Amino acid sequence: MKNIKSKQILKFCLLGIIALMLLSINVKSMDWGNVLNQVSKAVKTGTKIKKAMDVANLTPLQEHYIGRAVAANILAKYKPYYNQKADRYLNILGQTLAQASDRPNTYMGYRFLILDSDEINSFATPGGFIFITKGMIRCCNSEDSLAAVLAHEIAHVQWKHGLRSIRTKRLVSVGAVLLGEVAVKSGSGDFKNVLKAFNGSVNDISNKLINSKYSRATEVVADQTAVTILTRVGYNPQGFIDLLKTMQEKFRHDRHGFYKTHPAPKSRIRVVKQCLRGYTIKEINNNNARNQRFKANLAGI
Amino acid sequence: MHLNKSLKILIVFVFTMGIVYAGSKFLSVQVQSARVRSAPNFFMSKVVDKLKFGEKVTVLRSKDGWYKVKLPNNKTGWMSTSALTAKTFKLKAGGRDAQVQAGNEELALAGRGFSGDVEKSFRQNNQLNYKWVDWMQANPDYKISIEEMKKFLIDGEVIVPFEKGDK
Ligand SMILES: [Zn+2]
Repeated sequence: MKNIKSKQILKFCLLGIIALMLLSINVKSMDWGNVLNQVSKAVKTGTKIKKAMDVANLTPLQEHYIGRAVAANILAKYKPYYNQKADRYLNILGQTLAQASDRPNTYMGYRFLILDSDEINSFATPGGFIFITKGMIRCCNSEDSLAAVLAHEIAHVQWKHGLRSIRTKRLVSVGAVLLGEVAVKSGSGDFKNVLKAFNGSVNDISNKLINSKYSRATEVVADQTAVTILTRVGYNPQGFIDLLKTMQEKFRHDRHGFYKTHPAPKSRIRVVKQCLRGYTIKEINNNNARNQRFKANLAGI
Repeated sequence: MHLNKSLKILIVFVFTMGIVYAGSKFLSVQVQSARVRSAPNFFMSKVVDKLKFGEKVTVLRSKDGWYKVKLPNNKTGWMSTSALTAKTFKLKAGGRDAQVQAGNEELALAGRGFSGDVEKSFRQNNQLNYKWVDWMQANPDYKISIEEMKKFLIDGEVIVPFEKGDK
């Protein structure tokens, strides 16, 4: 008897949830894929869905403070290369691409800066501070290739890959504070715990970006999203393939940066080509208007 | 055992209902500044207004990552879902749900997690280069308008080089 009753309650609740899901699609269509993803992930790993603190719940302003700290960390290790003309060009290109992504709005918007390093590398912090080395720029033979580098980094910001590399245990104990349910006084014991969680989070992300690497699956997603952004704006994805071929060539002698942190260019080329099946791709025109400005703005790098 | 499970599901059910209800009416701007456009498309639209952190809008409908919204001044337009949240920002812990004055994000976050206070303490204990981070954020050269972006794409002849199914 008791059993039947509870089964009925269960059925009713499930129906209700499904009905609400259908209703909510109208309003929350964007978040839905993410929710389904999390549910399927939870099912796969056998964990419960109730997860108290998901990094994705951090507000853009909190993400911004983490991003600033990670950026400050990167800039303590890599010297910026400041060149007004090149910088402005990079920011117009990068911010335009970001506007066409599925996450055009971070707290303060996207910012791009060149690093004075021969290493082939680029980084994206949470919130949208994006860095690209001179070495990486030298792998680009066209604006289309440079757009591919930036689109890949924007994709990491869009999917919050940096935030997702924070060890969950760091945030659990201060979850209620991070979710804004309770507030702490500056200098109190709870405040120290929040500071500790912040410190740990910044370290986790910085380590991931500089010394270790994201999973292969994460990089595949970033490359696929990059192709989406590029084709949405109208850049030629052949520039992406050209870039990866150049990187592959250079990695024969240079085994720093992306050589260590990213999948081999060969396998990334496969991912890009897979995304472009059914499309006819034209060769890059090295003398069109955008490649003339590409050369003019980045001369000397 | 079973009843316990049902109870849990009931809680999830009520919780979901709460989220959906809250999400279907008002949303708040969760970024520093957000553009409102005439159409749900970056390339084929004009900026009709700009909103600040904490300002509220009413959702009319949604489409592929965009919300059609009504602004406090009764104008309507489209905003990226990434600019908005169902969260409301409270002034004080345990206090009334007073809405934060638009643009007053530091107050909204005070004491609630990773904020300016936390960064201040963090900076005292670490060797970091915040100088350039501040510079990246404040540099007027980095503030690019939508008009400049469009001109950039047109000048660069950034056109779709292929059509889907064009074999
Ligand atoms: Zn990557």
